[in-house]
Amino acid sequence: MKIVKRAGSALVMVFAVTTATFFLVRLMPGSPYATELYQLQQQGYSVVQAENQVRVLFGFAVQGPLWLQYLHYLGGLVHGNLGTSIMYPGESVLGLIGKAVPWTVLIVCVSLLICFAIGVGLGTLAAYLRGGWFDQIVTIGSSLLNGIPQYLTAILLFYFLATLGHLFPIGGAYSPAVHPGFNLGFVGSVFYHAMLPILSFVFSGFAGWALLMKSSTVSVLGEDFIFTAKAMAIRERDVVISYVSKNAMLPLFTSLLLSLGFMFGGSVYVEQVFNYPGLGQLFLNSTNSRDFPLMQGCFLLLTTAVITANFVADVLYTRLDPRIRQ
Amino acid sequence: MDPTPILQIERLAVEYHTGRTVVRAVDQIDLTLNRGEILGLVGESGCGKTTLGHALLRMIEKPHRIVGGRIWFDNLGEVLEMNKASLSRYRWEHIAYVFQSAQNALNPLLTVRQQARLVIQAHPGGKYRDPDQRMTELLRMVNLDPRRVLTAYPHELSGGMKQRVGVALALMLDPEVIVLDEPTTALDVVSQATILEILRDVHQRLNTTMMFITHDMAVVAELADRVAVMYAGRIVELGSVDAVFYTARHPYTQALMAAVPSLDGRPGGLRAIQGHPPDLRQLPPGCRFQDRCPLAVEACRVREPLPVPVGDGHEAACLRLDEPPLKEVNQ
Ligand SMILES: Nc1ncnc2c1ncn2[C@@H]1O[C@H](COP(=O)(O)OP(=O)(O)O)[C@@H](O)[C@H]1O
Ligand SMILES: [Mg+2]
Repeated sequence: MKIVKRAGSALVMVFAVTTATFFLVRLMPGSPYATELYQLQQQGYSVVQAENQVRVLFGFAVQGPLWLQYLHYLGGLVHGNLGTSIMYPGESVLGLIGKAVPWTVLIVCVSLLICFAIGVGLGTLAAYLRGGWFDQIVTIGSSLLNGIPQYLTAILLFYFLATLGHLFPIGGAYSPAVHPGFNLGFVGSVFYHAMLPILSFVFSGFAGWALLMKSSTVSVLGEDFIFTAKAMAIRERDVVISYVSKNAMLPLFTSLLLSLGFMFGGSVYVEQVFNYPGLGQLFLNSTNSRDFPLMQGCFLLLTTAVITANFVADVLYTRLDPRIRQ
Repeated sequence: MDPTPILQIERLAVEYHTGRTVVRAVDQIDLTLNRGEILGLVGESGCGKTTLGHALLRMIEKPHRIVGGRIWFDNLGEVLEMNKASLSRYRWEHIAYVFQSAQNALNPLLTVRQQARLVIQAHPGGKYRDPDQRMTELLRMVNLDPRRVLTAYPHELSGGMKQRVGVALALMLDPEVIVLDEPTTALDVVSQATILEILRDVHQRLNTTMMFITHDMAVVAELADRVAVMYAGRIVELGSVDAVFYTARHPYTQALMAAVPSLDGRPGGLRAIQGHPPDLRQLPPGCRFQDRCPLAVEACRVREPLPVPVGDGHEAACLRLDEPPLKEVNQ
């Protein structure tokens, strides 16, 4: 019941954001429709021809009142039609996004998992060894790393390892020499190309998890029930797993899903630096060239992703924490 | 029936090390628990009762330390010299603990059944192999419905129910000794009465030796066979409930008695005593009670009183034992 309610509110949110972007984008000065119309007329098209051309290009009515355009847009959405790109004439927005998404999902998810694993490991160890040299290194190191923005790490890695060192490729998702498909050459090339983007995420990302996990674990270690477990002589392995980690990781799971949104945001910079053909780069290009349909499509996908992550985090949390589960 | 000792403590001392300060929360304590008895351990908050209880299970964790003395457990020998394996068996198979904070003593992410399973798994040499069956039996003993409680998470239970689950968990491996650390303090009056009744019932059925820590004299009067009165890390008076309640010899015990509104069940308190216990970080030379004692003389500021027998199994640590009881002094 609660899940249905939450799902409902998530849908409403997606709808609200879609609507807001639609209107906001059109309130921005320099509408691409007007620009396009003007350019076509400059090229000698008649007004009617130009309008027809624009209609074809954009996939829905351009003229007419805003609410009609909005209805057309919604109608398109329902049928999975996000319009046609301006920047890449003839390409559907959905198709472009579909080609870009897997790359972004690849680097974002792999980085997140690596960050999470390293962070949880370091944070747990630091918490158990709190006060010692290991803890100090992890805590101070993490605080420093945590302050370094992603694009800086990306630029440094790119400059030293790709440009100067020639150790890594300077762009693309895989080498043009390999055949896309499930073969060793392709998979290897994909990972080779994804390596630096992933490293940039990991460098600036694991530290935050380490700090979070450390503070969470330290506070759990001070709980009375840990003391009880020791008095009961519960096996050390069970104490670590069922008592300490179970309680310490609970708050991290929510953050894990929420941080997905931030990662997609960070992906814009990282993909730009490494010229990586993911969603971030697509989004940036669409913004720079005022490719509204594409921009809107990217926006829609990003917001839906964030809202979905939120929703899943919510549901997951109620599954994991018996105190919230009813 | 002659008392047979099951647990003997000699000159036990425990120190808390925090930064550069050292607090000796338990000092020079001699105490014997007899098989099957209920010993009440009373004293103001901060006098070291919990520390003593923890020390009995050797639950003093670094950087804190048991700095001296010995703990001898019947058939097992020196507790302070046990290796890791023996210590793991000693804890909970021979001596269990009911914690003061029933609210937080249970893992919030485990059901009562999961908790019970981990206890049994941790003690493969223990008497019981089937955690569900054992826990069901014990939950009935503490007046809880096993069908409802076994699969419950701690947050689904009331404070009083949690405390009863705590008692059931402590009984899990049928230990010879249970330390109960203020098991009623955090509870409402009705739950307090329920717990006391259950403890009396458990004691009657199983004859488990209990050390009952409390600052509530009325509870001690109701439940215990003997009382040890603690003050600032020391035991200042020890004896049967009757002896200590009707012929208290230490001025501190006398003051405690005077502060109890009535001995027949109504909640009592220690609030009525003037002043504060001394700072354990910097104790004055001589008797620790000197600043609050109506009988203190010059000698009390110099010499430390040692426990001396004042009756049958009754002892007190005071230099002014020849003085008439405080009650008459006050009148
Ligand atoms: N973990 C600890 N670290 C430092 N000092 C402590 C700790 N636990 C207790 N103490 C100190 O030891 C003394 C005795 O505490 P405690 O045994 O809890 O007393 P009680 O149970 O009688 O209230 C107090 O002065 C307290 O400040
Ligand atoms: Mg206490």
